[in-house]
Amino acid sequence: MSTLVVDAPAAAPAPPARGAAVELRNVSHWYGNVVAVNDVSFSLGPGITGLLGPNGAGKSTLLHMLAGFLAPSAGEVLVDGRPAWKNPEMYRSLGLVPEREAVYPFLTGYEFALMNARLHGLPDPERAAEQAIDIVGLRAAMHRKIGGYSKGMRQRAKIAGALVHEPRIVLLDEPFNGMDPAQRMQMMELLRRLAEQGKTILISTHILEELHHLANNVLVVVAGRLAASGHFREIRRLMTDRPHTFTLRSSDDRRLASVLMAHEAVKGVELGAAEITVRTAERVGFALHLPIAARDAGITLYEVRPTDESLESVFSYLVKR
Amino acid sequence: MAHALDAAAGTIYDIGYRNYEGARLGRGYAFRTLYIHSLRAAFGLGRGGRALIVPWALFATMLFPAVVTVAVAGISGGMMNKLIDYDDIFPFNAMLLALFCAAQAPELVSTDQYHRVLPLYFSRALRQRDYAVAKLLAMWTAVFILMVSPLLVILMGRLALPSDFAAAFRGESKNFLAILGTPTAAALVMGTLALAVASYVPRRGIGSAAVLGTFLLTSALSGILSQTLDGARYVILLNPIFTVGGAVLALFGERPERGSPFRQAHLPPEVYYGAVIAYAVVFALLLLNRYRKLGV
Amino acid sequence: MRHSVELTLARLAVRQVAGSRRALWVVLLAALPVLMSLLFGADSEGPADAIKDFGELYTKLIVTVLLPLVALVVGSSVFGSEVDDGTITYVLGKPVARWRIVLTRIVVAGLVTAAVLVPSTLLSGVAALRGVDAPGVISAFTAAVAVGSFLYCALFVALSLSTRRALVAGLAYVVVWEGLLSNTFGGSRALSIRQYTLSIADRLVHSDAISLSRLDVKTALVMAAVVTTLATLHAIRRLRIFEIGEAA
Repeated sequence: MSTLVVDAPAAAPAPPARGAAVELRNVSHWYGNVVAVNDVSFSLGPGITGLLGPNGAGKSTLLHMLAGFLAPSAGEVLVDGRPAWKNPEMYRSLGLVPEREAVYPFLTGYEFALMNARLHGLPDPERAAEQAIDIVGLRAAMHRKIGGYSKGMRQRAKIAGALVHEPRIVLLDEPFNGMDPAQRMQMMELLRRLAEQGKTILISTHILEELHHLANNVLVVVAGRLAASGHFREIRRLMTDRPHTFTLRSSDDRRLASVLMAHEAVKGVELGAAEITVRTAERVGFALHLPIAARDAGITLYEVRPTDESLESVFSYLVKR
Repeated sequence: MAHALDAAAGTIYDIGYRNYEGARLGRGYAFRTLYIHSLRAAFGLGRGGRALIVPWALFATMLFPAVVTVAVAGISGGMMNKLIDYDDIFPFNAMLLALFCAAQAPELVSTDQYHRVLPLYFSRALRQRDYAVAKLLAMWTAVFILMVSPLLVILMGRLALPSDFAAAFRGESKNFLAILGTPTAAALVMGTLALAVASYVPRRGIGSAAVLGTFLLTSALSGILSQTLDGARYVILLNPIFTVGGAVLALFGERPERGSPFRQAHLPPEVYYGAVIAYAVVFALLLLNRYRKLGV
Repeated sequence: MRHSVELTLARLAVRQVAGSRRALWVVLLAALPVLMSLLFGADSEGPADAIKDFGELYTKLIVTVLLPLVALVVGSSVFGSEVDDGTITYVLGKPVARWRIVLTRIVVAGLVTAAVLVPSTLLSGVAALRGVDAPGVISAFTAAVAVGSFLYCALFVALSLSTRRALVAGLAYVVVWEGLLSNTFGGSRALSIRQYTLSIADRLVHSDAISLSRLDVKTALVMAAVVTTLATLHAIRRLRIFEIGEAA
């Protein structure tokens, strides 16, 4: 993970002013006894914002509330200054790309965009549909049934449907799911172009890297709460710049432990029954040092295992901070 | 060198999976468990509160008249003529029973298909036929329980209310066979039919409509046919509910009332009993056939 | 261009309902009364008998069984299948007034149901009454069944938006309420769509040869209007507060 490319330092994103396109004020939602979203407040302005969080963190619930499909149990969800709930007129300036796969499989890509255009009551639905198809790059396949599309094409068809009325706000729920790198690049290009037009775009995902070079601002949601928000680089630093834990088994655990303890990258070592647990702040340094240290001490390494790579542990670390 | 290459090409890492070395309980146990699980599902148990409403509401509605008449008779000093006759219980409750079958049969067989969990079942000791038979037994049991309960309530009324218990017992003992035979016939005919039809419909709601539609349709068709075709006595057997009804009458040794379709049909008991068996066999075969096709 | 919204909604609804194997079964079902009439129509002795027999077929088979079943399957699928697979977001996420969505779909459901029941009634009537001079019987029955299609569909669409077990609830209504209770309690006849349909048919035929319903037609029409309006309003209200949850 040697980063030779140095990103030009960008200015910290200015917080969106009052009267922002989308605003959440102390929003909570619970299903019976389960709190899915817990007192979340933020606002969204033009540009791309990422909504990051592990599965089950409440991202989908938040998005459904933003989309007017779910009423907040507490707090306000405001789109263009008016509540999103029970407000069909809002959809004139809002486009959604839901996560669920299902799109009418018997319609062609063009027909799907056309249907959306017609339902919006656009004056020239055919042209709007064609334009949307062109924006997502589906012109070649626009007269084939969606049932026969690949996953990436289906996503693009959904986006075409969401863009057909040129909304100011676009919400995308896990748009990169199941896409290969080439498709993802195309999608990122598309979203960047839309952002340049001044649209307010919210992308939800559980993979931080998907937001790289895409989102200026990232909101991190863990267990229903807003755990962090800030520039993408900051969030990444917070997430990666933390103690890592490794579990090692070797031919001489105790001696290995004392050898490792001497190194500056190691923050702590714990002796277990048949293995040792090493905490280090500097992953790369440790990884380089470990085999050298072991060889010099004449110790054979049997197993080296990172122990806290789960996404949840990453996020919960963030929350504890 | 070849060794090293092989090793590099594919090794299975020991990441702590443990093999299960203990006892495996085998096919019989799986069958029994599936039977009990399905029986519980038929009554909405173990699936959260909402699932209880439909089956127990129907059960209660079926019991209600019997319980009420027994209570009334008890309060008014043991007047047994207030009690519903045994052979009236089935006709009163036939439609409710049909509704129960229509509502719950899809719970047993359609939900597994809809959520595509059948491969999970069949990758264990359980065979396709075991699955189908277990479900069928569960359905039979559920229908039996529903149908026998009001009959038992009446029986208890007839035994408890008179002052001379021994005489009452001797008097009622002639009905014991019929009291058991009625719910059996209902289960064999209606339960099997409902389960078979529902097994061909993966969607629960449509399955219910299909089952009840079958009951309603056969009822309407047999009614119309028996009217338009004078002298067509066997037409009544096209109607599963009437088939059971005829068997019930025969079991209790009752003669059909004037003007009832059974009078018109004028069929001997053996025909009804035979038809009950025929229904059970035909629809059980359909059910088994469905799961033979599905379980590949 | 304002028509486009309704048309699009309608076209979507029709595709949901019509494009499946289920449609085949429904057509087969609708063919049953025609078959019956063809096979047994010639058996009746004389015109009065033929009309009476057809009346029986109409009441017992078409109106009691076919109409509610088809309406139930159609009515519960205009919203049901979209809610099930999540495509309802494409309909709800549009600046279209909820009442327009509901009304259009009820109308479409009614039209599809009628499209099945009307030919069935017509053809079975023609087959049953061939050679018989029966003024307006067939058209009366057909008109009534068309009205009944819309009545049932309004109710079942409202049900499908009100409960997850809409089909069972609809079946219970048809079997328990309309089947058992309405026959026992005379007053509750005024709360049965089946009775409205039969009463309308009765009135339109205007003949002494048949009497299909003991409900007088004025009550039937008024109650039918009331029930339909209430059902539609309820459906609109439910759609306005329709929530798509976490695992949608």
